[in-house]
Amino acid sequence: MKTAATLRSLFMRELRLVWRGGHLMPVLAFVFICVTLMPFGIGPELALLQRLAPGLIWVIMLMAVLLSLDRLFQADFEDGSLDQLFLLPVALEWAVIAKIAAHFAGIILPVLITLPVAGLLLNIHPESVLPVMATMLTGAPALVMLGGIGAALAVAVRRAALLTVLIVTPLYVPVIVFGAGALSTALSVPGTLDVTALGVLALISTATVFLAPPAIAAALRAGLR
Amino acid sequence: MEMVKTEYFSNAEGGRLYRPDLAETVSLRAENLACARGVRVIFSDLGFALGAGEVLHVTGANGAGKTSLLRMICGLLAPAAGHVAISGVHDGRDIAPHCHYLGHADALKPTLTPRETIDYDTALFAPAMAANTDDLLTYAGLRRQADQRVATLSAGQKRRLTLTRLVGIPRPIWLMDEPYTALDNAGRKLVDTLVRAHADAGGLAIIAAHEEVGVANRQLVLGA
Amino acid sequence: MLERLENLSALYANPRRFMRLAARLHMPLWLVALAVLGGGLFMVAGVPDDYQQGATVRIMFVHVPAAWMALFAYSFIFFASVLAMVLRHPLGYLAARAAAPVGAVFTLIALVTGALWGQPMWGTWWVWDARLTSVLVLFFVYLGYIALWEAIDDYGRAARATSILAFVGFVNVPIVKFSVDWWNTLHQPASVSRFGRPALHADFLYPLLVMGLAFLFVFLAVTLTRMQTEVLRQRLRVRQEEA
Repeated sequence: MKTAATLRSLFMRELRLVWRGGHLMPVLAFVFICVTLMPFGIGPELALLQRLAPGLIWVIMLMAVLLSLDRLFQADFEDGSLDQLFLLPVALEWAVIAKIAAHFAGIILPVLITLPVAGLLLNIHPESVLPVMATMLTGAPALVMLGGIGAALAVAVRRAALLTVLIVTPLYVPVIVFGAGALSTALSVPGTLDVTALGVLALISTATVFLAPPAIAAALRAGLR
Repeated sequence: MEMVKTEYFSNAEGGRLYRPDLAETVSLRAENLACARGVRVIFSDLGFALGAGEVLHVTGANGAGKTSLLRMICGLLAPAAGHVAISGVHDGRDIAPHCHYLGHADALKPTLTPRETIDYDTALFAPAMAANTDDLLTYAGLRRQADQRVATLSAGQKRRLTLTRLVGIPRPIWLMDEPYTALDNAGRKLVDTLVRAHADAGGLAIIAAHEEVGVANRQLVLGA
Repeated sequence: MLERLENLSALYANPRRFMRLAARLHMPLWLVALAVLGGGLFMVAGVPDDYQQGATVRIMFVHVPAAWMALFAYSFIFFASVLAMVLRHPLGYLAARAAAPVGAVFTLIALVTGALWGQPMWGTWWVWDARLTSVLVLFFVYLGYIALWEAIDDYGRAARATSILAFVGFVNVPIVKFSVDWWNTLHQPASVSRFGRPALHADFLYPLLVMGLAFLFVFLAVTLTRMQTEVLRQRLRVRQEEA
């Protein structure tokens, strides 16, 4: 009971910090800038854009998650809040979950909601919007959890953003592969879902939700000085 | 001009200072502690025992390992050798939940207000406790600043806000790293008063500081 | 101070026994490695041209052992890290750190020779074949691991953090292989002409095995030398700080 109350408070606090800190706007701006740049790069031909849209959306989202990672633990490390996280009456693993959940709710979820809209700019079939969101919602927890491992490993490193990207990208390959697979089905036959790919994606997400927090907590402990 | 308030942590009627309600009193023992940084050994074979009500002043040159020692005690740093143990609590294995650590950094979030800071601290560290936020704000002399962002506070005000965590959430072990930094004379006196009240209630404190610590009854010189 | 260091069960123990053993092993290991490598190359020179691939088949004798070593070196890093964490012995961290750039170079060799081999075979330098893609991802795993070692200045913290990464990466690599296989069957037309995999003729098999053995010895020799160098470097730092 006490653990749940502590975690709820931590979640609410983090959510408020994300909101007050204005961390969402840059990520959203990044997403729309990327979407706008794509037709310039590959040409404004609508049929081509429609064919490439699933992969583009998926990669843009992955980069948005990567971009958002550096504030996950870095700020707490610098201002001493990370120390206080260790002194909480709950296990660090739980605190990590609460923090990541807030990050997910405060940044990733809004990005997810706007991404299909951004996809319309890439000529996505309107009927595909819901399947696209379902796919991304299934895969996003894995992206955030795996990203958390990289962010925690690089927590004590100055200018850690690039290092985090280097560490995290190989971990993202399975997620991005199955996500893109599910997306391509959803977009080629509007209104359908690729149950196999979604199932594997859900499996990966579930596994990371259980396995990543201990790794993140261990990485944060290793980063203490 | 408003008079500068000197007696923080006393309420409007005056005089009612911090009276901690410690559910537990503990004693602390460190044995053969060693600290290494890179390939260098900072200190080794360090041991001491502290009982309830004792205040230890840790001093020593820059880089002698004062901060590292404090962090080792609450488990924020793994010692290169040796161990720390507490007795007097039912789960003596994990020391961290019985400690307050006041570090160099204030651990404050600039975008929260002092009121929110205290509310969240209570909810996070002692979820079963009712928050006496208004009292703490008054005690800390931050009543007027209660709803402006922490970023707008002065260094001394931030320090006093950090101290409300120690006062508001009873924990028997206080680890304070240079607690007098950024504080005026009244603030310094305040720290001493709080530590004395804490010790009188059966708590123990370890204070790392360059200057004299009047409230301490034990001293440890690192690197001597 | 050095004596003091040895008394600590710290990460910085001065591994005298290792250094004595390494000094004795160093020369013989290099000699064996060079001898086996020379023998292997001699055998490769004597291999007949393949009826399909001609002389380019000889690339295989570098490519395949390099790919083996890419995987072996990563497993080596993983097990060394696990041993170091379980036994709390610094030698494991030392070995893992020393092996990483060696493994990365083998991975790079596998990638480059793969491209060189692919050009005449497939008519293109690179195909997004499941195997090639997994090895490319493995190369990035190596780079991340090495970068993390370099980024953290404190040896102990770097050792712990990289161990966690080695563990995560070790779990990740097979999953990458699996997912890329799945991806491949989804996207790749079956027309990519990978030559069938009949049982390798003995003329090819023995030189290949000898080359594999040679690469293994080269890996061990370079890693050992790198470990010795690292210990000496740390000793030098202690001396410099004392002075």
